Amino acid sequence: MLRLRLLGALTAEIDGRPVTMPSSERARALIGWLALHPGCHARNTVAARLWPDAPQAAARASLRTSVWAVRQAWGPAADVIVSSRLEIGIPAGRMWVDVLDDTAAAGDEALLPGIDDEWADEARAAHVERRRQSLAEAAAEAEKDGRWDDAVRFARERCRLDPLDETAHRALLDRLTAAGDKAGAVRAARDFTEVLRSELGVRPAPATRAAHARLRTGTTADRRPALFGRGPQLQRLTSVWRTAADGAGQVVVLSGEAGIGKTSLLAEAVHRVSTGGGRTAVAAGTGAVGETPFALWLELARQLVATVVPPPRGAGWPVELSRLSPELGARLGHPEAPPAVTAPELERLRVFESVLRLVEWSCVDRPALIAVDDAHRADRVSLRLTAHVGRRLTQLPLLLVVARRDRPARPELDAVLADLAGRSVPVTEIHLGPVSDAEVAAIAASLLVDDTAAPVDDAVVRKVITAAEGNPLLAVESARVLAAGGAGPPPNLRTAVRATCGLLPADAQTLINLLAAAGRPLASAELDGLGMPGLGLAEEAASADGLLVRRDGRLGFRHELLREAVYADLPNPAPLHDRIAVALDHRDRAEVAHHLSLAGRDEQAAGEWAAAAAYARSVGALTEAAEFLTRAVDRTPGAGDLWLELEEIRAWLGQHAEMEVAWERALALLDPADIAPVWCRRGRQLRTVVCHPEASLRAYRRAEAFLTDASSAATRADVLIGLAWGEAVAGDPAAADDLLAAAEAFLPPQPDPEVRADIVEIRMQGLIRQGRFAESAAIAEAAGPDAARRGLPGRAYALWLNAACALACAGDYDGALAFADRAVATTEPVPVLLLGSLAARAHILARLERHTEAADTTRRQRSLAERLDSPALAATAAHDAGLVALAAGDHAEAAARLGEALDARAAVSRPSAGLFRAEALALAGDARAAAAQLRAAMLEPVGRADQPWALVPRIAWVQGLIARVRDDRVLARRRFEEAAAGWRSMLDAVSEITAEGYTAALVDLGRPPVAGLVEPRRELERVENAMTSWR
Amino acid sequence: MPTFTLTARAEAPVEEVWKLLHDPARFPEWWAGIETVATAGDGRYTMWPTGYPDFPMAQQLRADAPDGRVTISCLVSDLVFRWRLRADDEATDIDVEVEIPDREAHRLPDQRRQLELSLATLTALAARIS
Repeated sequence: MLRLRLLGALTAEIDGRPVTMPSSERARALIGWLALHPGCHARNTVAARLWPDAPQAAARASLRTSVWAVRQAWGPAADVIVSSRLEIGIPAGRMWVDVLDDTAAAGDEALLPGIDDEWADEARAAHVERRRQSLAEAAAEAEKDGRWDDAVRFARERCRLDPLDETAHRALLDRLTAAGDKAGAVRAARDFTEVLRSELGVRPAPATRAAHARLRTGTTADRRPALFGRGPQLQRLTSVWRTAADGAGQVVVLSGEAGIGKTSLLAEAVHRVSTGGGRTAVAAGTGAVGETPFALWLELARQLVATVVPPPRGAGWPVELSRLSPELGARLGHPEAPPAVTAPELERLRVFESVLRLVEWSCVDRPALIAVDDAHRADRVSLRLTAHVGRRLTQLPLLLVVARRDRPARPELDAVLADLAGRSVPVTEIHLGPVSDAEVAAIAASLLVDDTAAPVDDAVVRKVITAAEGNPLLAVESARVLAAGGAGPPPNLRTAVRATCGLLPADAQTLINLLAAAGRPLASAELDGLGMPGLGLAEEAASADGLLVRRDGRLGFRHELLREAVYADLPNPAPLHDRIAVALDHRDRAEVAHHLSLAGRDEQAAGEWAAAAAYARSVGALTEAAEFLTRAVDRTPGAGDLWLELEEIRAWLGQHAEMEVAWERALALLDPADIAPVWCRRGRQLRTVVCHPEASLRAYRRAEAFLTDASSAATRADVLIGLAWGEAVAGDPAAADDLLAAAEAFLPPQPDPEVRADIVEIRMQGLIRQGRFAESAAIAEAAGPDAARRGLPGRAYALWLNAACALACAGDYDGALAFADRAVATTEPVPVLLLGSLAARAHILARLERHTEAADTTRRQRSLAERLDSPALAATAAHDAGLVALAAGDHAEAAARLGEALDARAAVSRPSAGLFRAEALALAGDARAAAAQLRAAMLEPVGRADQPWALVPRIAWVQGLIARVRDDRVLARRRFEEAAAGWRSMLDAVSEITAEGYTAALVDLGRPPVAGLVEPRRELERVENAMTSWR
Repeated sequence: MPTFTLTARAEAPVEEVWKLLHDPARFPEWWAGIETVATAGDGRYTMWPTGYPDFPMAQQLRADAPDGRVTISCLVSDLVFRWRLRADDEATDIDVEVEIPDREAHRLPDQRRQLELSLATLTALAARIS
């Protein structure tokens, strides 16, 4: 292998042995040319390049002479040169050349010194350009990694290559300042100005003068911009931070018009908190590109997870955090996937709870500041989560800052802020109004001053003041235009931005246009994905002019208004969106879909919208899932599978009319061979989402009718299991077992644990419906531990809870309590399931007359419901607390809690809850209120789960209590006898009553009815005791 | 499907009318044409029409409408009775809508007469026991 060094002195070695260079200058030039142009070339071409002024024949003769000189000097080593009558060259595989190797081409040595040919000059220029590019990229990489010393070193080398390169010089200033060497930056600025003056007799360009000015004012491209005129606001913010850091969490709302300085003020606050030892996390809403649910809080979570200490091993919340993104749990030492949950609302609650736990954990070792910038552009569910966190920060050393524009209106954000203020969370509003003329003048002066120390022209400053109207962003952009030599301030921001962009090199303009289309700052990997060879130089140019900044490793516009202005000027953004779609982090499918849509790639966009919908569904953001799927089907209306997905989402949202429309569309589009599984899916939805047993049974029967010889075993099993459920719950429960046995014949030897648990539950339901309560509980005894062991807490919970209720139906309350306790233990890590377990436990304890424990349990239930921030769960908890209080004889408390539940529309039997409240009021001695409540209960809609036949004697009982309060003995006795007669008539049918009531409550109210079990014998005893005690 | 609606007013609180409508065991006291009723205790009941002691007819009392109506469906003849109650202080306005399957349309005049009589008995009974 021939190794040639062309930088510095021309030297060669072959196989590690140095070879002598020919003494002839032309021979050395020949070597240089062949080295720079690997491969064979026509002799005429080589001769013309080396002897451009000679006739062809003479040049060829000179070439032969030079080749002879090389062979003489190199001896056998010259065999690397391939030579024929027509061609000459050195194949690339036979030589290594230093200047063509990036790792060896560093350094300032000249290329081929002493060779003055035109081709050598071109090669030297290209080498320098490559070096400059390489140094720019190396400096950028070092900067990104925070290696400031290396970044400065590379920047200095680049300036040495071309001392007059203003872009390189500005980049050096930025890096010196970032490295903390402000003095070095000032010296470099002064030296550069002198070089330009002495060598060219000119001043630095306006952009360079602006950079020099920023040195004096402390403002640089990627650091905190200087604050002008925000002293009082900063002081207030700092004061609130101190209060929060002491352990009394606070919320601050920063508001003001666009460009008024909210982000700058926030950046200063974050800097002070960070340098003072606090933990910070900042994320901004991104509008249309940020529709992905939880996009904003995902970014906040990433930042928090990167800095917190690992949580304890047994903590369950890190796994739940992975619902947002798997990386979160993994970074906290929990890479396992979270358990599946069927109900989207439960998904959302689990995400909320896990993020809240992360925030709390973030405050354990130091106070924290979490900021939501551009909150008016945040995604909907992130705003809800912000409210959830905000409601619970008063006991934490946490400052939550929400920055927003006054316009456009964002009702969801207004509702969040109003809710926080209404819940006694300390909220401080800091409104940023226009800055004063003096402050605008200071902004202008900082940008207009140059190194000549000449005073700034007052007339120019006045122009800036007039144009800015107190808005700092407008002041900056106007001053920049004037500093760059504009005749006057631009009439508007868009004109100012257009003027600035017009001065940029082509690559920088391309970069700016791409970032404008992107809609948000891009991370380094995404920037690389744009495929721009001159990215580093383009970034420098655009950043130098103040349009772009890097924050937290992402490159974006200094202000959203600048981005909007650039985007508005784009004549055809579609190709840009196409490039962005390719470059983006593809984990955010909604964002990719957004860009593909704007690029006109509808079919691809549809696929991405569908994937985005799947993610939204997985985190319980059903409204977003429906929106995304609607966009997908709008673009691909023939995709039957998407219509099916949309149908299920509509079902979860309770939009039954829309659900049916989607269903009909899907049915019309799907392959007939797929109809049986589709009807199966429909049946499953009607079992789980909508809970309409009769309709589910009909759907499964349709599926059965569509089965063919080609139908899979899995589908056949699915149909049979579905039919079994329908029969167990709404048909012939005795038929369920046969159906399950038939289904098991189509299942693999080790069926999916979920399927196995499903079968167990159906068997239990069938037995319950037949009044075989103890047998039902025995099944749970056998299968529950297996479900818990397999990481199916939801299934285990269902089994334990149904077993508890079944034994309650059988009158075995001690056995019921044992199952309820198991349910509580299994669901401790899953708060949404724990609620149901606590409810069952509380009612069973009340039934066992262990009233103090029952009350403690409902208190815990209510506290948990409040923490989960679910009004529906809180209302149900209030209902349960009311019934427990009634059983304990605390009538006032019972009336209050039941009233709370009724007002909040708790998902319980309203007529029954109303009657219980009337009973409590009567027992508390308030006959008038009891009568009014009784009347209200009568006017409630009545459904199957309300067990209206059982309400008749209860109405009479309450009427009797009211009459007793009014001391109307005759009427009271009559009513009590009426009630007693009603309960007596049911004694023979107790088992059927209980079984049907159980199923009705489970179907219509969604939870086992331990609170709503009708016990005619017990009710009769109560009435007879009342009659006896009142004689 | 043929239908008709009747209206009546009971000088009795809505609670009393409500109980009578939801207690199948008391139907023979006011519902013309029903001789005997046997309840299963869970909303299901069997009634024997007047003059047909050997012809039981299974019924289902189902209250399942969100607007407060009570629907009583006969599982044999598919007649559907939908009752709606409105409280007016200590009185009750009663509407009942009856749906008759096409094959039973010939029974409409008789059903109407029978229900008019039943309503009168219902309102009187409710007033008496209140």
